[in-house]
Amino acid sequence: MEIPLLTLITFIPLIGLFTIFFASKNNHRLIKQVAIIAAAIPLILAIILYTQFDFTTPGMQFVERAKWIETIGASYYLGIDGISLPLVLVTTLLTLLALVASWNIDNRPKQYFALMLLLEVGMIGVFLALDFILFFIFWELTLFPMYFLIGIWGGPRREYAAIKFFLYTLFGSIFLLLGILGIYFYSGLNTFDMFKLAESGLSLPVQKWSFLAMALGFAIKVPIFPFHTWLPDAHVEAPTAVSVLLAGVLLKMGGYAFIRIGYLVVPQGIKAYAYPLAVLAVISIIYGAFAAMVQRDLKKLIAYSSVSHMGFVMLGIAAFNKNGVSGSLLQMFNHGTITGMLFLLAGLIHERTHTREIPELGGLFSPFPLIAGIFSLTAFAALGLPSLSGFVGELLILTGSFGVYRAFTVIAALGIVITAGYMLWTIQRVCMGPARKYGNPHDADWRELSTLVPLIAIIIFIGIYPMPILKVIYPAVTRLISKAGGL
Amino acid sequence: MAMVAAGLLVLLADLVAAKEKNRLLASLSLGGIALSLVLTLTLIGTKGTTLSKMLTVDPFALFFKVVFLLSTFLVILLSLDTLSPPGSRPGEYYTLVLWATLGMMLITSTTDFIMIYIALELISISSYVLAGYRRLDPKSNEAAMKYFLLGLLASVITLYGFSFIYGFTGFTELKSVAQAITPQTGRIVITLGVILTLAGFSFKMAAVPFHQWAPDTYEGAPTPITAFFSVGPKVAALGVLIRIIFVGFPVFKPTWQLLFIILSIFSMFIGNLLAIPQTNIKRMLAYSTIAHAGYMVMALAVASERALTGALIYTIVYLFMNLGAFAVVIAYTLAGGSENIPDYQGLSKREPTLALAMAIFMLSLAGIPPLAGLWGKLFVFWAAIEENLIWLAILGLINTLISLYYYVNVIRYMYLMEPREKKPLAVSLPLKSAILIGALPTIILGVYPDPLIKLSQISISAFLR
Repeated sequence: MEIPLLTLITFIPLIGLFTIFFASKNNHRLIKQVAIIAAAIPLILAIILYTQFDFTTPGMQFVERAKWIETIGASYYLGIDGISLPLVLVTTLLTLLALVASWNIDNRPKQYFALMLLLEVGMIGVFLALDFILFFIFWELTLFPMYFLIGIWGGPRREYAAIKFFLYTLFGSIFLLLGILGIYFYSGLNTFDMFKLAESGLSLPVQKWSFLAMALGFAIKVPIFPFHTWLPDAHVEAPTAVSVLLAGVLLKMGGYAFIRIGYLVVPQGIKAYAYPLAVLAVISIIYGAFAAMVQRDLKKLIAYSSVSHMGFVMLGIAAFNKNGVSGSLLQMFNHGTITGMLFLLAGLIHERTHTREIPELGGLFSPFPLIAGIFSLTAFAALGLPSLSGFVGELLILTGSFGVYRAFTVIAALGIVITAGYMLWTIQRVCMGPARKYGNPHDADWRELSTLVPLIAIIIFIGIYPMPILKVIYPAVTRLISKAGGL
Repeated sequence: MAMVAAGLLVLLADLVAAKEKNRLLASLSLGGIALSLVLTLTLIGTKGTTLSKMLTVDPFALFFKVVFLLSTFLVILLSLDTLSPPGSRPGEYYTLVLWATLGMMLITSTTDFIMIYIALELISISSYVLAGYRRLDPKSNEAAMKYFLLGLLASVITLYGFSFIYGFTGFTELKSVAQAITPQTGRIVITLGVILTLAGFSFKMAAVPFHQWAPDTYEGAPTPITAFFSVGPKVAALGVLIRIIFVGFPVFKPTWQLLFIILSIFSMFIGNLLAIPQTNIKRMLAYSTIAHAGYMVMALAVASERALTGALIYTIVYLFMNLGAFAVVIAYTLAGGSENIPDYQGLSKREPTLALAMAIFMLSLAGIPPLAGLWGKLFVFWAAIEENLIWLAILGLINTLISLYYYVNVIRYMYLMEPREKKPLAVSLPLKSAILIGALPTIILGVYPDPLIKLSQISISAFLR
């Protein structure tokens, strides 16, 4: 009998959730252990998936279909290909690391870990769903765990940040739903199967309008300027592990959706708006970089750098060719690891120094050589230093967009310079200089290191040898582009 | 017909039994409902009329009967503890509830105006008394008075509307009426009749602008009765309107479609916007039900087969999530809490299961997947898009967003704040069962709505033949 690998990966966290539900709320240790196991198993399964993956075929693999809501034509339809595989890997990995990093949560751990696991189900489901209703439900499923996670365990302005995130994202989701329903109707096929809808020959106006509607939802998630204003607040107020998942995974849901739904189902729609998308992408890059430069709060700085990096991702997507889109996917994978790391480190620094204000930090190399060292390395990766993974992604994106949007590529490259500017300056302000007196002077312990080392290893490895990820991405992207017809 | 028997039985038992046999009477009532439910289910598949063509049996009627029976079952569970204190006179309470339910079942099973009116009065009069059941509470009296005076006016207007239609066509039976009119003849008279009828039933549904009684009545009435009103009469009005409009006046579609659209838009916006500043949870839920009436009326405005299917789906998910929410309110009030929303703060720490249940109901009312409330809204909005009323669907979606604010507000108090006292709450078994009965379908139907969808489709397609 075939093992439904994808269903297992998606729903094992749910089993973990139920187990936690029945555990006593005072048995913190047990709750945390169960949660970590429930997050580790999907990661292991995802790695097995990778080893079993056929790198030569561009189509969907490990497909699982079942009847679900026949009356409206929604089916339970999961599949994975070169586009979703890296994202599933990064999701399972980051969730596990985020849970390990959450070991010290003592305020209502039962609900915290339960919500995190529920979040994982939603995130993985989004990347695997190939039926629009299923996709929509998983997409929405991530909303309310985030609301609680930010609102209960967050910083001083957590209530504001949480409700802003919820309403803003929901607003986008409404338009997403409208777009989906529009496609459903005008295809006349009475199905929500993404592939069937893609082949149904939707007319150009339908494609354009539904893309616009859905794009609003995606754009809020990515986030693209000017729909990014929920991000800084959400990131700053969220607890560390939640920020890791927010930046590392949730933002990717937007980028993935542009590729998967935009290119697959409404290719003419996305092509019609590729140019405006590129414009917004470049604005995001520059705006995000400059905004990061003036931040005093370390987490806010990282948040704006996320906006800037996702701008690169969007530029690659808007370029509509193999290099651009592959670069975007790779960069999404990278950004997950890099920015995930940055937030983990910011959390560690905050725990030790009790501040996130950069002017109050400084000289971290002295008391915390490990943390400061890894932080510097990660910052280098974020600015795209060659031999680290960020460089490969950015290179591919710029190569792809150079042929299509020459001017934008130049501007984006300038964006790299600005990024280098604020990143290096941050390293200098935070890690170098005279050491200050900090309360809790011990460096990263083995548990914290265990969350950092895997990510650093990946960042360095992919930086030198990106093929393991690229060979996964290339076939699927090539097919997607050729089917959509290049720009 | 079992309902008649049950009602009579309870009344008799109340007279005969010892003064305060609350549990016994409740059990009798529940038993009667269960029996009715079983009998109703055995009628599935049959079609016909009885009582000299006054009553019809079709899947549409059966669907609504099941809805009312389920709703009343839950309401009685909710009422058990409220009626425990001495001097509560539970016998008459249960009898009135059963009579009202009977009225509701009748009103959706008939195609004759006279029968409709009789059933309407049966529902209304029972409701007036039930609203004022707490004779010593001035708020309850106020609730009853407002409901009675305005309700009387509404009933009279409805009757006036009927009289126009009868006067013009000479018939009281819907199908005959439909055959007697054409779009050209008697246009003004019929339009007037339809408008008046609509007005009367919109009152019952608490649709804007006929909703003014609802917040005060909902707030003042005993909470189980509020819960009863929020589902029963509203759904009954919806059902009978569907029958009247679609059987009797399909030719006048442009007229009533416009009316329904206006009703729907106003109800949604006013309901949702006015719910935001409320601090009393019963009033908030009252405005929320006004908004939900708006969504249901949207289905009538769209008037396609899919829209009506959506309306039916909506009634079932609405029944569970709304009664569930009220169950939590009753549980909290009986355990010592107040009706003020800020008083719910920290409930998640004091009584996590109760808070979780409320959170589920709030999110489902807002229409968040993967809970059942999503499907009701989805179908209705979907139907609107299908019939080229996209802008109406967009308005509905905007309203969903607005409503989210006040639903999440409750969740915010329960989860994001610290409780003032730490001790856990005592929740009785009937209430726990009611909450569970509300919560389980809300979750299960949210993930697997297919059976419900199929059921609704069958009911509607049979109806439209």
